[in-house]
Amino acid sequence: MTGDTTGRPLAVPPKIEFRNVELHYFSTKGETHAVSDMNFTVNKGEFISIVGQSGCGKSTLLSLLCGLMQTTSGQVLIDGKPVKGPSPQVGFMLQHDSLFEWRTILENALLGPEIRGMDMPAARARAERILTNYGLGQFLHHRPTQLSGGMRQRAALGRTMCMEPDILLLDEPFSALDFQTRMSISEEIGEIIRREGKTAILVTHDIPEAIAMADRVIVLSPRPGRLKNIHEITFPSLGEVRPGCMAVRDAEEFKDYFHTIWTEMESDG
Amino acid sequence: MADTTPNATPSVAYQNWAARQGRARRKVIVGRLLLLLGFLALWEYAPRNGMVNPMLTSYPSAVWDGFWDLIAQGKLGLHIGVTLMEVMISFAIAMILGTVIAICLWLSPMLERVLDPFLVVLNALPKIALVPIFYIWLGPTGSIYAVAIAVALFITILMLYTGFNQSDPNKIKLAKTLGAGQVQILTKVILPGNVHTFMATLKANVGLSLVGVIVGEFQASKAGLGYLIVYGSQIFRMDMVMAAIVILSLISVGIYLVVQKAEALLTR
Repeated sequence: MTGDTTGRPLAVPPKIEFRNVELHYFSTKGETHAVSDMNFTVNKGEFISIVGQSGCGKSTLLSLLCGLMQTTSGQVLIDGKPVKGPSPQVGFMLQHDSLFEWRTILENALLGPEIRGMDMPAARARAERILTNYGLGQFLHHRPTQLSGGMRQRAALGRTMCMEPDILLLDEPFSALDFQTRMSISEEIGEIIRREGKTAILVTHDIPEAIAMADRVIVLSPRPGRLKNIHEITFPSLGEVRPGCMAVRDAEEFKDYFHTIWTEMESDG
Repeated sequence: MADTTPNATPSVAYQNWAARQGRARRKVIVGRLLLLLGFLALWEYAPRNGMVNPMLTSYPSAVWDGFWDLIAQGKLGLHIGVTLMEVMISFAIAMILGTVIAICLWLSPMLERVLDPFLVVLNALPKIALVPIFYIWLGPTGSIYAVAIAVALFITILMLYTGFNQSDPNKIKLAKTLGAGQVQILTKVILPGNVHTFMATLKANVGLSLVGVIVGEFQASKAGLGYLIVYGSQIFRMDMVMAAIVILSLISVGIYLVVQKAEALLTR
């Protein structure tokens, strides 16, 4: 698709594109303007964080991308094609791990392939490999209730990854965890996503987490959610290769990013 | 994860605690036995000594004789069998029909909104009031099944539908992100997540079906424990009535144990 044979790069559409997206919610109480004039693109392999006050429509953006909701006007595009509904290409990690307590960890990971009617023996082998990679090899046949919060979140990631998505949507997936688990699991999951070259969008209200995990941080205004600013996150003081999420928290630049984004979120409009 | 494995060598304090637990358990059992024996003794003593009229209350040894009398006539098995079969069949029909209707209501919110007030009224209506109508429409046998099914059906629909509706919205959202449609949400999330609702409905319904069958037999029947109770009271054989009631309570205990076993198997 990149046109290397001709030596001329063809225009490759961005992995994800929001084009003039508007969203209005309707309910018996009336109409809510949730998202307004949303325009941005995400490149393949990029990690984006979206921050904003609660109710600014950040989770709504993920629902639009996943195809759970349709825009009122404008388009959401993946690989240049409009999103029509949920697709195996997009994996969604929700705030709650929502593991089914009546299934074992392995059976939970196989939920997606079952629903999509995939080749089950292959999916089973894949799920076993993925869960083992995430340190859950001994717990394949355990019930979710027998696992700790961090292990459950890793199992949920395994369930998402079993569909082999190339886009990952993370909707505050760490917010239900205690602080210590949250730090280590976000480092771990950030590492896995980067290693596997997935394109990821993280929605969070935790500014340090947003900075630590992302290549770019998008700041949204309060409702209706508008794009306020986009920050490129780089750490020149830490050298060429970006270290893990934990290490960047000590960098010089980290404080500055935090301060800038904090101020932006505090100021209205 | 908290380690809750018991220590291999229990301490003295634990042994004392365990011994206290054991004593408490034995006290409960002895208490129950004393209550039962006391009741039977009083029931035997009071009528025999003219404190109450034995014609009205009968007494355990007479009930025992009445029980053997029924067996000697060779009819007891028939009566028990008839009642049990009526309970099983109407219970199964109410359960299956109720589950199917609850699923339809869940699949079609519009249908649910239309039917909601009618279901509420039908559930609140004392179904026993319908016995004479069922008798006229369906005859003696049909009316027994109709009452028993009507008593259990509406509560089944309402309990299951409420359970379906209270399923975890996060699990439903998750299934949607994985591409599940309505039917898959039903089979992967709603039904497996409601095994406990199903068991609770099952427990309520066994009792209700039994009530429906006995009431149906009161109206008109040629056999069954309900028939035995009505017949016995008409010819003033209280021993026969009491024997039938004792058998009924044994049947309820038996069914309860079966349901409990089924629950243990299903919710492992």
